[in-house]
Amino acid sequence: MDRSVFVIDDDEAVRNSLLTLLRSQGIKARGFVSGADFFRRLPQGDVACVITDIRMPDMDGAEVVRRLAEREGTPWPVIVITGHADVPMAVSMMRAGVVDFIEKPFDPTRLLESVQGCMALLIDRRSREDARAEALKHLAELTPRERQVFDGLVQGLSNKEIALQLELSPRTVEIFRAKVMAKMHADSLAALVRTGLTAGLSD
Amino acid sequence: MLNARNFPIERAVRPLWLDYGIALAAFGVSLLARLLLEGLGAFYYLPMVPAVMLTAIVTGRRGSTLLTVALAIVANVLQVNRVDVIDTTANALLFFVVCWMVAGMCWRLRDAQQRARDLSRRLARRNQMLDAILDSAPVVTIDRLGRIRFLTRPARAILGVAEGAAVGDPLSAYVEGFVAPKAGDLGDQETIWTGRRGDRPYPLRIQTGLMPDDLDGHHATLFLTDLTQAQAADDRARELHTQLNRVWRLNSLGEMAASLAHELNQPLSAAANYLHAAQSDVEKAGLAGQSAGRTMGLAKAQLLRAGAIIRRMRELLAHESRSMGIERVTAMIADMQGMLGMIERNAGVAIEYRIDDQTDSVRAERIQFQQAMLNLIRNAVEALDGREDRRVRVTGAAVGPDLYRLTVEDSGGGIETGKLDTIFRPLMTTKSAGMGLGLSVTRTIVESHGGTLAVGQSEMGGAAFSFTLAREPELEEA
Repeated sequence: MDRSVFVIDDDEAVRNSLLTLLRSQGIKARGFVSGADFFRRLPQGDVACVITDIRMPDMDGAEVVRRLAEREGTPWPVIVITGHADVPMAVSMMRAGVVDFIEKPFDPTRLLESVQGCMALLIDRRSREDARAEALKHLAELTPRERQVFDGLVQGLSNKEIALQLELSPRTVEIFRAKVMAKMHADSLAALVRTGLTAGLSD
Repeated sequence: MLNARNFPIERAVRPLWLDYGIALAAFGVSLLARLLLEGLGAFYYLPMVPAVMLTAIVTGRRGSTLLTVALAIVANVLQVNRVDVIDTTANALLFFVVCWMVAGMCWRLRDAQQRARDLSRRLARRNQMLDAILDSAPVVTIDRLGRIRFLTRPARAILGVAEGAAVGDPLSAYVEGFVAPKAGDLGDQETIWTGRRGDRPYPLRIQTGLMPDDLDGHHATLFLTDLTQAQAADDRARELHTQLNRVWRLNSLGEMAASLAHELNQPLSAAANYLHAAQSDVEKAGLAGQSAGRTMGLAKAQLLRAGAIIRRMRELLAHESRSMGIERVTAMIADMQGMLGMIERNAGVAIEYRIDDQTDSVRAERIQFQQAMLNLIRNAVEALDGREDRRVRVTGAAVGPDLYRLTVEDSGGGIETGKLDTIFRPLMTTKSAGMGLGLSVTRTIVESHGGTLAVGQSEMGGAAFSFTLAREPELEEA
């Protein structure tokens, strides 16, 4: 999986120095001169964490954060850097789902830590996303009857209760259960329930 | 023009019978006198002449005069025994001719008297009117040497002199350095002098008109205007200007600091980033790199220290000036009217205001708001330099329940698209005079109010700057 950091800042020196800094740490980074530029050249399929300035012509940082939140797929973590921070702005940014709010000039170490945090978050979000996708894929392979048995199991019902509900014999339920476990790649009942949760069935 | 003809005289008309009565009475009296004189000698027509004269003068009528003459002839013909018809006729004709000539003179005399009487009455009325006019106008007349010859009641009030006083005094005793206009000067001049009432000086405007040919020693008429009040209003506006400027200068210092802080933070950030990257690189190069890396770490720490100093200064200034309150946009703009009026007059620009005054309660810091508005309006006015179409419009209206938008637009040349990015940069200016901090400061103010300063194209042709403030609807309900 290709992970990079996208830097949006209209100040050339700041933008280039950030790219140099990130690349010196072995992180892939791309720069954009404005929010508009960023959305125009938004790389499809990439997964990234975004660093954006607040005060920019055309589209300001707040707008970038808002537009990013509307994007489909895994939400990209955003770090906001600004040269004129105040408390209300920081509060509104954090409320908008920004991961970190850093005031210029900042200690590069502080920023790198924040970027590492974002990357971890991204990996976490991504793996959860993958697990969910996989669970949904397996789930789709179940026959309607198997699905009914699966739903009963995830709800915590016993074989007997499921048999009663579906008007089947406990023996038949036993057979369906084995098929479900195999199709869902679950080696235990606990693993099966966890898969159900990952797929978002209990929400 | 005031003319005697403008004052018609209505005269009582004597009835016709009275005139003929007078003729009869005059004839009767003369006849009686003639009869009484009979014993002394023969008086033929002579005693009747006064009766004709009297009738002609008193009645002025040809008919009544003719009646008197006719009666006199009849009386004479009956009373006096003449030699023959020729003698009688000759005498009667002679009498008639003489009487008619005398009567003609009498009538002319009577007319002349009448005209003289009318004229003097008309003149009297015209004088009354002039007096009434003069009584309401502060007018002074002076002679060739600048001595007061005449002054009206309002003029006495302005000069601060009692009734009857001041006539004969030189006007320069009341007006500092006053010099009487010379005969050769152009008429109708207007000059502002310093008057003195007691010890108090006051601005005095004098409009001068020269009298033709120094009428009765009146050399010139002066129309006085006390400018104290007009000047007081002007002074107040100027004082307000000075006061606000002082506050604004202090405020600008804060805004400038904020602006500069932001601008300095950019290169400081970049430098720190570059140093950190370099540090990572050299540290990979072994022991020698370690030492260089440490040094770079120290340099980086100093950059961050500079950033901390700037931040502390900004916070300090920010705390002193910031005190947001609930304000009404209309009231804050009305407060600036004196100054805006001055800008309008000086630049010859008409500023149009379209401020919605129903929904204009906002959260703002009054002075800062006014400074931001003034900066924008001043910019707009300056953008009109050397243009035909000179209009500036200030619009204020609520946009949704939470925001109130203010827009300042002009009919100037607008801003080139390529320059849109740079206009907000401090020390970046298109004007020959000016620090280029105006827009940068305005933006800092707007942002400290939680808004964004946007620039676009106005339908009036020039630039349109707009920003939003947070509305405070609670105040309207209270």
